[in-house]
Amino acid sequence: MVTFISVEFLKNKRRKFIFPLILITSLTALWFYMSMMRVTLSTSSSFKIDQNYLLMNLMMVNGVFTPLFLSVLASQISNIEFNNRMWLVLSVNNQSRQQLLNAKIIYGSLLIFIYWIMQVLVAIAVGHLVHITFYGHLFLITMIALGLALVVMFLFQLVLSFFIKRQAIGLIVGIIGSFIALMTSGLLPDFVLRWLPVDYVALSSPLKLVNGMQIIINQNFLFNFMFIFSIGASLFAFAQILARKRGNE
Amino acid sequence: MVNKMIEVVNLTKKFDQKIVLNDISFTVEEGDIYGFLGRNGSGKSTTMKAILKLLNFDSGTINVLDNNDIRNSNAYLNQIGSLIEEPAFYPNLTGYENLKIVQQLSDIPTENIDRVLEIVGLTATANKLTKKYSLGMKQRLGIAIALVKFPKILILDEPTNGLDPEGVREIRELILSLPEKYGITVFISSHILSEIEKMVNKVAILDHGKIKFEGNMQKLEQESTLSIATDNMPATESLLTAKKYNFIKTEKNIIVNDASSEVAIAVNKLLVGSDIGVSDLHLVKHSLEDIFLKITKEA
Ligand SMILES: Nc1ncnc2c1ncn2[C@@H]1O[C@H](COP(=O)(O)OP(=O)(O)O)[C@@H](O)[C@H]1O
Ligand SMILES: [Mg+2]
Repeated sequence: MVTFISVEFLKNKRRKFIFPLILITSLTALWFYMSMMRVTLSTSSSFKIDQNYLLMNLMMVNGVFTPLFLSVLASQISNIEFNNRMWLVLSVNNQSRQQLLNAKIIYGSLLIFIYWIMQVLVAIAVGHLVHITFYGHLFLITMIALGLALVVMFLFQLVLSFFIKRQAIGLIVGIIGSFIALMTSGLLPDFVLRWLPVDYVALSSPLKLVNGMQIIINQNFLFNFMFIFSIGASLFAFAQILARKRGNE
Repeated sequence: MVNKMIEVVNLTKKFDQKIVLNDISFTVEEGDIYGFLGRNGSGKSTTMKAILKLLNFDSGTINVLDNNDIRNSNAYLNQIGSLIEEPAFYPNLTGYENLKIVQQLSDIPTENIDRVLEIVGLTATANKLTKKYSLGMKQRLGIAIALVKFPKILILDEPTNGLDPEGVREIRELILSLPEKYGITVFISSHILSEIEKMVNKVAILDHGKIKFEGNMQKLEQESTLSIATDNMPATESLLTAKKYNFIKTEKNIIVNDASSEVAIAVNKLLVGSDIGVSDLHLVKHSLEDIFLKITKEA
């Protein structure tokens, strides 16, 4: 597997998709920072600016940008294999379609991990700026939930991009996911969100907004967490079977 | 001792209901440069993909490197280098980096990269991005990727496709040197006989998924007919029939198929010995191109 991962790095040398990804990551951070500052500076705010507010806001902003981020990532690391049907060359040189898929899952997850670290750092930094003290385990729990949602959403996008030649499909799904999150601010009911893997960041959040102003712990959090995890496991299994079945045809 | 490098036995492949390969069999032996000829769509690439396990087949057996059934293991792929259909690589990488990918996956020595670049004549342009390569350079890099393992068997699918005559000649010289210098057996396809006739020692001619001819080039070159005219055509006919010659009758002549000089002498002796006056008896040699067209036209 180490060879396969290093080959993925080599393959993506000189490719430019890293720039839109950096741009989206920066936009996420900027948007989050601005929305925190705006509420902090406004005198008429009905919210208490505390840890809960920060974490909910962070998940909301992530909900908007990650579908785009992940669809670009999944598509960009998959599309190079469709040109000239590269997997024929890889297959006769010791890498099956399934091994290729798994190399991409790991390679993509490494980039997602960097994104996730950025979110952790940005949350801590902004929290510091607006004088919020973190207490208890909520920060950690939220970040783990975010990490899980990111990986499952990525798997979902990768299935679309790795197995369907038309890359526009995965990208459009990502854009729609971002759009829904933007329009609803992640306030859709859980039973609707469960049907929308592109918006799992909203579903994974331990905090939710009620009555437009009250932030409470989502009673369904644990269930949602397990639900997302199971969908992720199923997507993974499905992708493995599909990769093996497709072979090289 | 002659080893069977690739042995295809009764291979049949269908796409949906369409039969693309119909019970084909042939054997590539060690040291051969084996030509696989056929028009576009005759099934050449499909056969090669089946050998490389790039697709499943419906029935038949493929053995490589002396009776190793390819269904049993994938290990044999380490001994085969291949270029199937278009040469394929990552356009954002240089020639060297593309070779590096194959080198890493196949776990072979790094030195092989420089060696193979030298052989295909890409040393000077190894650090150029492949998206800037010319067609000829792309074909060479495709061959380099196939060759970098220094495999026992090299499978090349129309490697001269789209090249100008000079390019074809260069690739031909390169391929001709492989068996002797590196002990590589070559299995090469083409839809143009003239592009490979000067390098192959054996050919199989594939047409609509069936092998119409298999044998060495001399046998194909010997494809001549014998034209005969005598003063007693009915007697000639019955004599030839009795001796089981395969012939056809035209208005003035009798044409014996699959003739050679030995056949001409034998027929002449036979007729003269039976007191038949022979007014004309000559061998008609057909060009390879004629034969190829004749074989692939009957459908
Ligand atoms: N994946 C496929 N699905 C359906 N038909 C195919 C597929 N690949 C090849 N064929 C058909 O099989 C036949 C042989 O194709 P191919 O082996 O590529 O021929 P060649 O290489 O001799 O030009 C053609 O009629 C082609 O249309
Ligand atoms: Mg072909």
